[in-house]
Amino acid sequence: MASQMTTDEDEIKHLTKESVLYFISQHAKNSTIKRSDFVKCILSDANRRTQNEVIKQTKDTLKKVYGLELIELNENVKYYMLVNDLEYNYNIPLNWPENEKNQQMLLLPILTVIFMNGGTISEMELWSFLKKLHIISDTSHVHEKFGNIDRILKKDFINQRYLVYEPIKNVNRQDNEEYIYEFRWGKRAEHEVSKEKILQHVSEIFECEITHFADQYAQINKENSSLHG
Amino acid sequence: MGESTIVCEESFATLIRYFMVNRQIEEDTLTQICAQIFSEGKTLANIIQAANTILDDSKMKIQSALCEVTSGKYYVLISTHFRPDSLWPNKYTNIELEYIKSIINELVISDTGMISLMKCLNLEMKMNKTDAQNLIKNLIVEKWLIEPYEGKLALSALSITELEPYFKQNYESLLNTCIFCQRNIFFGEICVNCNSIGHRACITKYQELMKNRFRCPSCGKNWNQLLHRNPDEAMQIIESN
Repeated sequence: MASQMTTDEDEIKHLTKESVLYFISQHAKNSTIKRSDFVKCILSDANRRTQNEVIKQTKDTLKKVYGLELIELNENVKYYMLVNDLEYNYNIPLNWPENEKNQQMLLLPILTVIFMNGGTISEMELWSFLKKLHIISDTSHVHEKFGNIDRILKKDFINQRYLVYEPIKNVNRQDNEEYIYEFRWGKRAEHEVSKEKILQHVSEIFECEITHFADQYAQINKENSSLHG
Repeated sequence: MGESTIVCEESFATLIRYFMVNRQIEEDTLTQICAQIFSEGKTLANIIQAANTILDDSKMKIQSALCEVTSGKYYVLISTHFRPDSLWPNKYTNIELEYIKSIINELVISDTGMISLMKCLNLEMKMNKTDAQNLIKNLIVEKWLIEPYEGKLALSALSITELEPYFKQNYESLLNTCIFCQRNIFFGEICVNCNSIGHRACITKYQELMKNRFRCPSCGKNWNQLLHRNPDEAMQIIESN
């Protein structure tokens, strides 16, 4: 019979271990975790104070041992998301298993064009951009190496929170459509992808200084200063 | 002092994250990666030992393993917490896991430790053949299965190491043992005289030692004539006798 004498500390330690395992096993899917699922599965027997302490220690362990940051998202329903916290100092792929490395190659140009376009791009404009890169054609949105581009952009990247795909009111009303769809950076991209590195890369392509892109440069400075206070 | 412990922590986190994505790594590749991540003066053995101390709470560990097909040495990240129902973390759906279990079952009970892709696709499954084919492709890319010959599948070093408790619990009496090292063997070279089976790596070692006197330890016949590298060929000969 389990001893009734386990202290609060022991309980917290045990639940922290369980929580870390829970999040790590979910991380394989690179998607979000519903807070309610997590609490029901791991923390249902614990009181509020213990729950908060466990989450705090879980965050610490995930950062220290795995270099992963546990982020809370509030999208009507509360979600957790694990994002990479390590500097990509080495040329070692950490987030993407072999068979998904291609998706990263597809993601970065898309994030770049959204950022350079002012943070948002309409669906039509994005297809046009991808056609120029020969990733899609007029007749097919399926790429030899990347796969079904529609599915990746509108489902996979959305689920992984790399992109956001939302309807906005069509101010032009050209096609008599009330809404058009636009793509923006998702929360995971905000956390994991460096806008500064993107701007540097773009500047190299155009052989100019990064200050040349005044709006983007200003945005980077603003975000950096709000981070460092 | 503070600065170097932070760097050290991040080094181990980088190594662990790399292992989580590539669960089977060749020894040479791992040595190169560690040279990049860690400062000079740390041997691979030290690094692995330290990493395992960190991983202990997470019920995982890094272990060295030999591949039955390539005889190469690898390091694999495996779970130390054997749960009979969950073979692998939540990456696969239940339907996929059922299918994977049946492939593994065929591999364990086969005489050769190999199964043809054709046979895999004809196994009973609740998904369509294209999805099954993609799943098998993923299993090869993620190093759970290996292709010893074109169109054939065998268990990788990672699978054999991670699933050891699963095999022990479900197949104990059915498992073959290597005639040399007495450990479990699925894929190996077969003596067509007496059906003994041995790891390729074990045979190479034994052959170097014995040279002309290379005989089957079990039936005593001269093995240079009797050994077949390809288990399928060996089985064909045995069955035709």
